[in-house]
Amino acid sequence: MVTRLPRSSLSVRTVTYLSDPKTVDAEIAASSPSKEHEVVAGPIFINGQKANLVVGGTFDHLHAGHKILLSMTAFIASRKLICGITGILTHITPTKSNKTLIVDDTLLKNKKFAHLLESISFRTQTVRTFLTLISRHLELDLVPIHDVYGPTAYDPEISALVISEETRAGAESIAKLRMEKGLQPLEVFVIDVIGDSEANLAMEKIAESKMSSTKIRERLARNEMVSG
Amino acid sequence: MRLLALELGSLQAAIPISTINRALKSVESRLCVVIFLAPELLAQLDSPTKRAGHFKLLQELVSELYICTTAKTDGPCDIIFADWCGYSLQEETWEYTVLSIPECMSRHPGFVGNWQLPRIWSLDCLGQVYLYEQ
Repeated sequence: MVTRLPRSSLSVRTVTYLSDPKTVDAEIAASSPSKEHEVVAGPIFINGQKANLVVGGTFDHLHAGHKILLSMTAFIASRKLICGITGILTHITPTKSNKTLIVDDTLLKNKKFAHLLESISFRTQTVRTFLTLISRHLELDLVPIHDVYGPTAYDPEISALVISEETRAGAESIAKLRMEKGLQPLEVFVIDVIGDSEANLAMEKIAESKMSSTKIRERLARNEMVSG
Repeated sequence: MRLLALELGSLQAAIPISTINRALKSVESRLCVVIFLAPELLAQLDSPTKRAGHFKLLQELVSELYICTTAKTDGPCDIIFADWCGYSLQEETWEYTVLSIPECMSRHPGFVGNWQLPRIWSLDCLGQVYLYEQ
């Protein structure tokens, strides 16, 4: 039985496909023991060069879904991992206490319980810490993004994009923009967290609440109301 | 922090979820799952390109583990693949106290007290689960 997690979770079934089978690295073929192992030729080596992978998200209250996405990106990145993190410091507002309040950009302001979003600097540090724990050898480039494109809009060296199922539309927008700009198309790896066991069915509700930043903020908001 | 060390012989092997869940019932703090691959599996996954070739199976394994641990732990959980984390776990300061898991203890009665991760490599029990507490 295959159990599909809620859309709010990262869930995945689709993997990436190679646009040109001739570029399949020989080591993949050599390492594939049987037909049961779906051989997916990745864009890891493009024209003999190690490829740069990009992944993006808000990564608020870093949870298991984020970690699956980041892990899989790190596991197939060979040199550089670019991680776009939603939120850019757009303006500084003086407050009554004469301290400065840094406000994230408009991509975030419509999120539910937005006041409980972690700051971009905190989220960036959390992502960096996690990636350093699981894949210390990679060159990390963590950049704030304020639209769905981020560095994919201009960086010619990016060759692959790792997305979750729920951000597929964004990947299509990126593909269109890169084509318009004459940038190389990106190979797309789609992460879809799939549980195919009875046990996962029982865990679905728990996983849903723990793999959704919105649910986490909602819980925090409830706690605020109770304590406040 | 607690460490759950798993040695896998195949990406398609069923994750011993019931054993993991049972072992995790008492885990309330940060959990670190370290995956060690048996040599034959490592040979299939020891480069980013090879891992991309097994993307689907690998992500299903990672997902399964994260979902499993999410349901059972209150603290954060991280999963590390020892073979490609980019640093030597042996050189880190890892000391754990063996928790009592009867099936592990019966097969490896000598595992008592503190010991270091590299010894896991000598185990001949693919898919077996060990839980240690720091």
